[in-house]
Amino acid sequence: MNIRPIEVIEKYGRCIELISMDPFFNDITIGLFFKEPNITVFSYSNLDGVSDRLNQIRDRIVDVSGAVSIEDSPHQATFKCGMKEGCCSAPLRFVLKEAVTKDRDLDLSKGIVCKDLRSDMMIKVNYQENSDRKIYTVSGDDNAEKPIIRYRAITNGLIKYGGFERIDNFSFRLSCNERNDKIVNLLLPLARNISATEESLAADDAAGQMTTQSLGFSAN
Amino acid sequence: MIKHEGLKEEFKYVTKPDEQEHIGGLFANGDMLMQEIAYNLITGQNDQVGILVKKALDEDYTANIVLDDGLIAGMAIVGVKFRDNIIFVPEVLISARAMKAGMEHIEPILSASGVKPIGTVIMGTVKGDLHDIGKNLCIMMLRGGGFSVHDLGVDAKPDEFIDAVMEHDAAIVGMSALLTTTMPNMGTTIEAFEDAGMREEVKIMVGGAPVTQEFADEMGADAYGANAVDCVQRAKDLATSNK
Amino acid sequence: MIDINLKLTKKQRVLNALAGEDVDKPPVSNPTNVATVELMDYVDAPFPDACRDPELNAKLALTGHTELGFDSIAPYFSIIQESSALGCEMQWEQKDNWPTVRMGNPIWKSVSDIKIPSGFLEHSDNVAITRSINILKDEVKDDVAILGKTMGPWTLAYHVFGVEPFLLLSIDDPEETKKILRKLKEITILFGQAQIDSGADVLVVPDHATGDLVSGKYYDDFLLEIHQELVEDLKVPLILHICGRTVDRMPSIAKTGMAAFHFDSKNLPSEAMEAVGEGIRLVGNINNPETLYSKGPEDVRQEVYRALDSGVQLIAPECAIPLKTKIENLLAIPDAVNEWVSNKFQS
Repeated sequence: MNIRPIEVIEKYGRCIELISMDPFFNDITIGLFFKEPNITVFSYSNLDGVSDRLNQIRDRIVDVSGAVSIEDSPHQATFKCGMKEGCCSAPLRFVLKEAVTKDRDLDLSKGIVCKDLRSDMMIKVNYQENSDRKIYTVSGDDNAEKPIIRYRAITNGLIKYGGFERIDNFSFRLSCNERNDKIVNLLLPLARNISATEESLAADDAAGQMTTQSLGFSAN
Repeated sequence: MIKHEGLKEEFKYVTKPDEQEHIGGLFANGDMLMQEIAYNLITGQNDQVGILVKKALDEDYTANIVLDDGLIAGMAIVGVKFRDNIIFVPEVLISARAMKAGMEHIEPILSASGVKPIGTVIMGTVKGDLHDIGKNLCIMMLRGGGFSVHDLGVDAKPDEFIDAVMEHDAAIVGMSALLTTTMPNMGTTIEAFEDAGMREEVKIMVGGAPVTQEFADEMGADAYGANAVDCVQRAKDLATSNK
Repeated sequence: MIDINLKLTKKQRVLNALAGEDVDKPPVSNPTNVATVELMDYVDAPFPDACRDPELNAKLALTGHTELGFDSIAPYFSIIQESSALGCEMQWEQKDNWPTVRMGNPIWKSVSDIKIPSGFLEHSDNVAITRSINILKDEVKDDVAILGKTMGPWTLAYHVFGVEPFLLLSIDDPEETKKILRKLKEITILFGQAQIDSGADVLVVPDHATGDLVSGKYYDDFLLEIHQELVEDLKVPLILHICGRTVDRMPSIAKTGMAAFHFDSKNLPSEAMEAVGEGIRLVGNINNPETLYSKGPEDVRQEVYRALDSGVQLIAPECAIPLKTKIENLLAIPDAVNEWVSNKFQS
């Protein structure tokens, strides 16, 4: 692939996220680009097999996020809403990381559930349609000292990382008003402890930065 | 109340009311010898601190009084001046060295008093991190606070912490990190203790500039120390809870 | 002064700006690294190999000109090559992280330990730079400015003595500290000259007497005279680089006689311009972690405009860019300069 960076940007749009070293394929750098209505998985690497790996990542993105493959368009996908004005792009950072670096089966057979970290509760997110609105609501088995506070915090986390629209303290919907259980399911573990997620994001961001701290030239 | 003229000048750098109250309180008994020690520590006169600490001990001041009212009280002012950019790292280093000079007289008394160390602590900066100024200050304070401390140095891998706990029969592990990129290695080390079936045997505390209480909770640490003085208090709390 | 009727090569643009002479537009320069993980894949030259192999190094350095549109290319990406050649213990890391010196195990303790090893310039980690400059010179000839880099004595002291021991020495024995700096300066000159002989047009001199660790008075007491001497010893334009908050030492830096000072975003362009006056040109100072790494082209453009509006003579990121910086943000820098010039000088 000899396509130049300026051509990549022209063709595939802005880079939303980079995974600097693909642990499953020769440490190549994987980028996720967005140009409405498509997201594109891309790498500048010219190694043999790169195209197949990018397809595999694209398929994983579809599996974990509810995106839709674009037929005859290798390495590309979109969301049902067509991603107008960047809709559904907010969680793509987490989607790419999941698709490239992890190998989990994000099972939805029991619904959107996960164990809380700060209490013994099982958290669940229910879907319902109300008039023409497609709403998700956070609740749980109340097995905590102040469950309401946890539900509210987790709702805030889902809204933050998903770019969702708030309905009330415990409910939200996707900005495009579509149903997408997969993306909510992907984000739920991250939403249950925002500060830990933020620390993890900060650690990802700090890698490869040269600062007086990272050089060892600082006491802070 | 502060009677020592030099120390009065140094105290002027403490401008926040709550800090004035707290640090002023450390000098409340007005003892001139303690204030002389504090002043010489602040100005980095390590030989003089050594001489004065020995003099105090010879005059039957207890080791703990000298530590708290002389050395730690002086370091509190150093901490404020550094934070407020009145002094920089070289000045902090000479104060830390003066602290160490005082500790050389105090540590043997604490360990020779027939009283066992409060506890044994394994201290290290986590894997990938090469910073040690904060860790070294904590170690000095811990030793002064009555702990036996084994220093793993910097870039300490999880297995090194585990081996050291077993070798020294330590009940407390202290981990430091000064980079957000290395902070997750605290979690990795804690997991290593779990994998080794040793997590219940130790109490783990963490600290370092980017570390927070919330991060410590998320990583599964037992305590978080916001600074070197706090580190000692946390270690004492953990040692008490171990019993 | 900007004269849009001039027809300059990239190299002429950079050299003119450093000399305070007229340019057709302010140059976009990289006294510090602009390589990214994507560019490493593009030319198949990943870290750490690209830091240690001259051919991979040259391929990656060239992308600053061919793909990013900068007016200069700089093969020395990090700050540790000559410290490795001196024998320091190294941590070379991997593709997405910076190589560092293990300063916890310093190689020297006192001024009498300082010795330049025989074959120092022939050490592979120095040849990685000098040979790369040869390759780049053959490639770009006189069209693009080649920026070499040689660590100043303060930074070298941190690497070879360790930060804490050296800072203690600086307050315990300032005279011994000055002797150390004078001896280490010989390494700065030796490696710098080797790069000039290989074809470097300019030398960047990072010397990390930063506000994070030491006061402005330290700069006056320990480094000002040495930096003035470097100007006499190395006969190409020199760009001094010090990270962090440095406004308090900029008036002194302006007296060094160096061509330019590469400054950090912790200092506003306007206050930096005021601090240096007419004494030295400024290069900078687009923020790395918040702007280039985390935001988008429009935010980059705003910072470029802010620097240009303040009169900063050469535009650059504030320091080595994060290796995961997105290319579109780097492309935004020369685009913004072109647009600014167009708005200001063409109707």
